[in-house]
Amino acid sequence: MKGVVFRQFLEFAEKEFGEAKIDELLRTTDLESAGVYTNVGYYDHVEMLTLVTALSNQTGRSARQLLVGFGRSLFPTLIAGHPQDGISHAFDLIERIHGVIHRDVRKLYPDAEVPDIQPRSRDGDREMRITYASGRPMADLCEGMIMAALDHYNKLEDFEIVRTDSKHRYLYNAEFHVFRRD
Amino acid sequence: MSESDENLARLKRKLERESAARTAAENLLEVRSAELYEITEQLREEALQVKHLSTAIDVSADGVAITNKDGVFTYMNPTHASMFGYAYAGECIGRPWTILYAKDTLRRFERDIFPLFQQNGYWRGEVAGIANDGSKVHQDLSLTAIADGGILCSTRDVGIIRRREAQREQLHEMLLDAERRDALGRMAKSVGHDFANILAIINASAQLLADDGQADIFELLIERILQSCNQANDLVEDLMHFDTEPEQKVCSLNDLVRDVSELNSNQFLATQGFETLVTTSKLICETDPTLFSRMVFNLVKNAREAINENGSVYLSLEQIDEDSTVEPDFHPSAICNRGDCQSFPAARLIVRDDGVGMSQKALDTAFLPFQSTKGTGRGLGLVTVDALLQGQMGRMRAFSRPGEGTMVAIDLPLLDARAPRTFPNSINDPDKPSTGAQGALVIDDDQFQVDLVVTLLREFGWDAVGFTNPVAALGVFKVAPWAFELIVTDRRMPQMSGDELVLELLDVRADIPVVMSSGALASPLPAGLAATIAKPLSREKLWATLHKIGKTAPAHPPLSANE
Repeated sequence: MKGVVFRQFLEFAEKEFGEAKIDELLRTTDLESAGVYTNVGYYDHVEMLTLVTALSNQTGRSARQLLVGFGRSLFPTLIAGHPQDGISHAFDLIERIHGVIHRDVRKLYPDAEVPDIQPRSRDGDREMRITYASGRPMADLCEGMIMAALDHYNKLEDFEIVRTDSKHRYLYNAEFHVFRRD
Repeated sequence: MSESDENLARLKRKLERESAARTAAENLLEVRSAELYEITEQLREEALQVKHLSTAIDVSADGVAITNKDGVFTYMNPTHASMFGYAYAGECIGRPWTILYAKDTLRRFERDIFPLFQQNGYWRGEVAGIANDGSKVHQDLSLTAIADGGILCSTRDVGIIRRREAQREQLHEMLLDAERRDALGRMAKSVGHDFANILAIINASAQLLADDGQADIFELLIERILQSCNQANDLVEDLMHFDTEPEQKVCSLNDLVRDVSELNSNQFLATQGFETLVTTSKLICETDPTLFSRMVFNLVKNAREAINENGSVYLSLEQIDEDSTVEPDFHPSAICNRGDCQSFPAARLIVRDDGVGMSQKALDTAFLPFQSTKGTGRGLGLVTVDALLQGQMGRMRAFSRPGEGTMVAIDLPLLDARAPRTFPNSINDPDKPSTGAQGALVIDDDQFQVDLVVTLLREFGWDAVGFTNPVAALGVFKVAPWAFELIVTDRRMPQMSGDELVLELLDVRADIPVVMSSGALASPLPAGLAATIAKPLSREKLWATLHKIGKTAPAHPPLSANE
């Protein structure tokens, strides 16, 4: 997992819980990287799961809440580097994730294991079904990012997200049904 | 610890983490930078290789073009553009490949070529394109599918090859014409010379006759005129019989030889000797009696002309078997062999003189037309020897030595001769397999002729293989000479003449029966031929020839062969 994601997570956690909590988190958690992350580095995703679990234990907030919240804060950072000309709806942006954004990520990081996030159906600006499949159990993070995408275009309040996880691959495979609340 | 101390310690730890992260990032950047440098170097080398390849394709003598999946040219080298009459490849790039072909050719692409191309991913063949000026471009075209759905086209202008072939053919025709003209010239010179001599004698004798004062030699002059007329008749007869096909008849050689002997006997001077010894056993042979008689007559005549006033000529006819050798009673300095006798018993005719003898060069040319070395002959007399040997699968051995004389032995198979002998060479050859091979080699530059002969031979039971290139066939024969028991070859072939091929084949294996099938069987034929067949070749002709040389495949005789 890219170092920028770890750094964003620590920044998100500092904002949520204060520098002292995160200092404690890094001191008390056994991490291979010792909590030293660079934006250009690449780290085992298990460290992220370790950090989330430890933070959840220390703060009493669930791992799902932490990851969804982190996803919402991560989205603006990741999207900032990608052109969004001609895009006026979150669905358009989501459609570009697989074909354009992840392709750009692979240009810089050929070994990057990006999740497979693909729209399966779309009904104009009203409804979209998105599938998430990854080697990492990060469906919560994906959900937070979908929410952030809607929020980016001020549509979060207008839409509802119904998530269905795979029975056998919970958190690894999920479908998001995003539709307007009419 | 106070709160401010804790904050200070926390900030210090954070600073340490950030400092460590920066160092890690710098190290990572160094590693990536080194990797980038190596990749850049690698790319530069690959780019150079691509540039070299690109240059090679650009300057290739073959036309090369690439289309995308929509059939639009994305690359074309100058040769390809030039082949189709375009000054620059850029005139074609971005345009569909269909601009280079007429409608009927495009239909052929759709109907015949693309189905095969799609099936195999490759196609090669000849098509006619249309140049920029509307002229036709005959091209040998190769199409190869490439990964992105496009096509790699490699093409060669076969029009140039065809023009070269036509030029070669034309040169070959010119050479043949020159040879014909040369032969005609030599014949005209030879005949003209002889006729001039004859006419000179007749003219001089007639003038003397007209002079009353010469009455005392009247008889002599009349004799000279008659003799000259006879010579003129001989000359006309030689010319009329030159290169005619022998007419085979069953006849007694004893009678023919006796008749010729009687005819010649009064030509010798009283001081000269002429002895004839003919066996009492009837030697029946299938031969052209006229040709045979003319051959014996000419051999005796040549012998008579070679001896001096006290010399002698010996003529004999006897029956021989396979093991009979020819042993001249002198040590020859010149030897000439023609033809091969494969069936026995045979009749052996010997003409021996104790005349001036011949050098090797004179002996070699003695049997070629218009090649007389005597200064007075026409060089036609002994051509009959070759004609007879070809027609009857006979052989001739000639021995000579200047000052000692000449001996000519001719062996002709008798009518009841056994089918082919076994070859002594093969008995001692360790490489020869113990079982008899039934392989037959067919060589003709015309594929149709190859197919015809191969088909017929297979029908006769032979395991026949065909070649249109005599050099390739010779290569195969050299590798496995014992795999074949019969060779049928054409005579005129562009890569190697049949005559040369026969000598090479016999050099590899002296006992291999070689049949020459050609429309041009004029003498001199190469020595050692088993038989000849005049084209056009037919099933019956081939069967009869194989039967004659005892080379029909006994296991599978043809059902309707006309023997």
